[in-house]
Amino acid sequence: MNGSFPPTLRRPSTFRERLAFAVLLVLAVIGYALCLKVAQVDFGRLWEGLPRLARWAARAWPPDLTEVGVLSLRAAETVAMGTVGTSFGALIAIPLCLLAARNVTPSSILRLPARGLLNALRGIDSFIFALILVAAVGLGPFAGVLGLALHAAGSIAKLWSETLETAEPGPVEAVTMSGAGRLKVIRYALLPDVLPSLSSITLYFWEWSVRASTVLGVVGAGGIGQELKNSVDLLAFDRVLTILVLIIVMVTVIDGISGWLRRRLT
Amino acid sequence: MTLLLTAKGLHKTYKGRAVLGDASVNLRSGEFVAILGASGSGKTTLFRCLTRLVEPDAGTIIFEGRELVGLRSHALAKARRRMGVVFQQFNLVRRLSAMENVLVGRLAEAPLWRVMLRHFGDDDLRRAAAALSAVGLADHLHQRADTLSGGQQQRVAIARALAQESRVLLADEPVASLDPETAAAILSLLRDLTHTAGLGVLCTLHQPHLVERFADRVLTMEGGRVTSLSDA
Repeated sequence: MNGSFPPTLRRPSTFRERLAFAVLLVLAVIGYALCLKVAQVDFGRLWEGLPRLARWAARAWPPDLTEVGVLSLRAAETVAMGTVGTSFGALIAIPLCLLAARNVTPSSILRLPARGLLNALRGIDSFIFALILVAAVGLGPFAGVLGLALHAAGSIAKLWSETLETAEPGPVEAVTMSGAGRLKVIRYALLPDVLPSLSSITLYFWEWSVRASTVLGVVGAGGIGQELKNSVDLLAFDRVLTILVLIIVMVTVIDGISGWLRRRLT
Repeated sequence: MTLLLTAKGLHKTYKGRAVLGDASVNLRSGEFVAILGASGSGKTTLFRCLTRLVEPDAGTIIFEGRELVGLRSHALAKARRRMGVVFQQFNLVRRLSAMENVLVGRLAEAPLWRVMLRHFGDDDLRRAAAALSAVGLADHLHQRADTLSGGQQQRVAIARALAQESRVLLADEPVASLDPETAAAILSLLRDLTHTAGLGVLCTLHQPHLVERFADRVLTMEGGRVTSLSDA
């Protein structure tokens, strides 16, 4: 064997196909160059800023451990925000995903508005929701919880509905043929098949919500993120380092627990 | 023998292609009717029309004296309670146990709250266990469906139809994916059920030798039509 096929076995590309590929390539390069320009990417400025970053890094050591207890409580507040936000989001997602899944809700009159709503919810970031909700319900973690819940509801419902749609149709037909009603079919044929995937998606969003809730403090939604913003504003880099270490530990532990649970579900 | 199921003049067209044309069939209690036909002859479409998993374009289906075509969802579900189906791919809920799969046959009768909690009454549990025992799986009650062999899964599917206490059993190529020995055992079980439980069994098959061995009556299908009728 010489390792290459005779030319007749390969589909010859036409001039038109080669031209189309070249045009697409040029357009992609121009588009990317425009993105770099619009995003004002300037590595010179990064180079100039490096000494300043190095000075701040030097000032961060040793980390300020005097408030570790308080900061740990604020980290726990962040975990609580993520956990409650995800659970509220999952509760909102239950009816939404059922209405949005084609095999559960064949009627487009119900399905399309449900899809529109979940797309709107997942289209708006939890940060934006929290920013608006802080004005409505005041500063503190509750605004963060609501922001996370609304965004997570849309995202979870979208993934759940797609999972429902990929469920095996055979068991559903078999249970339908027993004369059972729609709710019983969903509970007995659909749910056991997709439950591990639905749980895995929820755990993934729990991880995501805890990470996202560290940022929500920036808009006044409490948690460790608020402490981080305050410390950066005061240029207290030794305190910033302590907070960053706490965030890394917190996220690593949550990722570990979530990953362990997801592996057990499959 | 009581006439259980009569279908007349069933038509079904998919994307302009007639897959079922003027198909007629009837089934009495206590008889095993085999439908023999090549792949694509319309056997599965006939079964799906008989159960109204697919809506026929024309024709009538009388089951226990009642017209099925045109029945709304609640009335159709009620009629389906007495119509057991065994699918070629078994269609078990793979993450549930053999027992829980057989309990599918009791879903229609069980109260909604019991189904939601998957907590069935003693009577339903007894019936399901008896059905599994009848198909020789008394030792596998709590084994997960996806850990059973193909033949065992098909037995669970038959037990599911038995637990439903249906009057007819429609089996769509129930032995297509099984080895010859298991296939013969499954068909033997179905034929026994016609005698012991008075079931009417309508079964599509590919293999003429199995038809000859087990069926009381044979229909052949070709091009979406039931073309001949004979005693086996």
